[in-house]
Amino acid sequence: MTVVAPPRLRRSAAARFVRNREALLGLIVLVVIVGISVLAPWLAPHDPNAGDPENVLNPIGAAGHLLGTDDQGRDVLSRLLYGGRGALVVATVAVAIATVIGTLLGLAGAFAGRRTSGVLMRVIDLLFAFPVILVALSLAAIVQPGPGVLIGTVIFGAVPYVTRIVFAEAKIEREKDYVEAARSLGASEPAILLTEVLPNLVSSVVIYGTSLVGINIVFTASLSALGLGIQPPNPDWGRMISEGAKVLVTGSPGVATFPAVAILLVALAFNWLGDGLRDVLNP
Amino acid sequence: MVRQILWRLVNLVPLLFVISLLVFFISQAGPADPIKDVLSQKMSAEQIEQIRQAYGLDQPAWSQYLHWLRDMFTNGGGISLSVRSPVSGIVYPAFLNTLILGAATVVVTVVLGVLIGFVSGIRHGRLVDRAAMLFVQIGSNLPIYWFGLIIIWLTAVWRNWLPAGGMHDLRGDGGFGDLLLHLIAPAFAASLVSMLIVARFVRAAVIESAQSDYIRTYRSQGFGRAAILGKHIGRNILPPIVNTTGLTVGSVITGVVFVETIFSWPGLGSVLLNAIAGSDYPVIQSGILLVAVTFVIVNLITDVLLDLLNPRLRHS
Repeated sequence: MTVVAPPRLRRSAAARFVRNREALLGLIVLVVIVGISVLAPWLAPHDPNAGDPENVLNPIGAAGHLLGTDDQGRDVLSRLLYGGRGALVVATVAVAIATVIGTLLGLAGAFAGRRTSGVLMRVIDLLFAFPVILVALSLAAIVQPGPGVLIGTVIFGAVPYVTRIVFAEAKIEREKDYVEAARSLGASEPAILLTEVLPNLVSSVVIYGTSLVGINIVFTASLSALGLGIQPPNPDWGRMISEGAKVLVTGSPGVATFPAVAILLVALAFNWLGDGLRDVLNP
Repeated sequence: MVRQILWRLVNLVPLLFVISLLVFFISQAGPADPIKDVLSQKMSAEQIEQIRQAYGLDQPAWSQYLHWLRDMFTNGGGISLSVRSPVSGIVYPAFLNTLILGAATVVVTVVLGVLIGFVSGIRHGRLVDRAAMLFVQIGSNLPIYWFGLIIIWLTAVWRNWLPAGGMHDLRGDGGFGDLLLHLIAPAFAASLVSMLIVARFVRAAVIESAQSDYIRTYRSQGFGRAAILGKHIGRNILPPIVNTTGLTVGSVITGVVFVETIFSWPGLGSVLLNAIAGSDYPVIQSGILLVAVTFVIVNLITDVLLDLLNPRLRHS
């Protein structure tokens, strides 16, 4: 007689994560790209900013320049390895700040009175569709174009998204028995919010924040390409696209295309990781 | 119904007030002192003070704000600091060009977004649907700047189908057909983000609608597939289409600004980028205020359209 082991109903979150191919792939891609960005000074074959008038617009696979050179003779591979640093840091930091602000606003909205929450959510609804480029342009006019503009713009753009998610979920949580129980035990409203409700929302916020980082890496790259973000001489994927724009149509598509592919890959990896985390944390 | 629309109009007043305050704040918070920047340091303190008075810079902030607002209404925002000509002459024509490109982008967004969403929705789970969803996933993560360059390369360099940029052919008659030809590529590139948002929403709405009980009832009564799709599902997804299109207005404006530079479109985006490089605050403020007000008005139109489409409101 064979004894059939009862199936384990709930695997641990880590086990589910490893089994989720999408999440694992996203994580691996991100680890590799973050690793490359951190180790760029040791990995890059050339100084990313050193131009070489003798070797302008070398093709892909040229001797010493695996991915060719740009119109100033700078090594594309070296610039590519360095180019993600600013974008990754800016998007992650800005989304983290936006997540904190949005969570607080969403919680406050869900637990405030009808009027306050009505006004708050009306404003958030409007900001939800607001053309963020106007924020970027205004910030660039106030402080000079640079990483600060990118961080401010991403925060402004991401806060409404986070607020909406947290608001919707906190409203559901508010009606649950454990909140009522805490209240009947004499807990104050702020205490209920921070110690009872917030821990139940963390996974949603983390999932959502992960996807937001991806979207905003794409967005900030375009801002940098316009000249509002990361400034030369720092190598940056977004700027590489606009710097390579002139030569893209004249037979050197790689200068602008490699950074575009890098951005696409990072953004997709953040999306996969976010989707995977959703399956793992909120099954 | 009329009361609802009037109420929405009243609601705009505080909103426009806040927007105007924020735009006014740009020059107040800016790093450049307009007087110190424009004049050399050889002037005496009294002379600088005189000029401050002439420009009203010695007044309290609220009075400056009122003056500024009046300037915006009467002459479009004063004199440009870098070109020394009226702001209205720089900003308004560019704004009109941006509006043309923006309208074309909205058309492309709705037509292609609905088409992709509808087709993949009714073929849910099939090959077409999966191909469309792959396109959506990749498209929404592509840097729009690079996408625009590729469109130029495809349509103007590799194949000589469309002009590579600009708004009119220099040798052409500048007619409407010429303008349309110049619009196709930038409008398509600018619609990248918004089109895919609409496609995703429409697809979800079609799938949900196709699975609902009343559609099943129609089907069981022997109604043809085409009749059900066109008449019933089509009608049910109209409000979400209007709603989503309204939500994408921000993305459309952002897309247009990104694309203008790439396609050398003589619009407000290029004007604003130049003005920022030259700290030309009157132009910056006037341009940003115009776009922000446009956004608010389009938002209002969407809300009213949704009210009109909502039978519960229409008959009250």
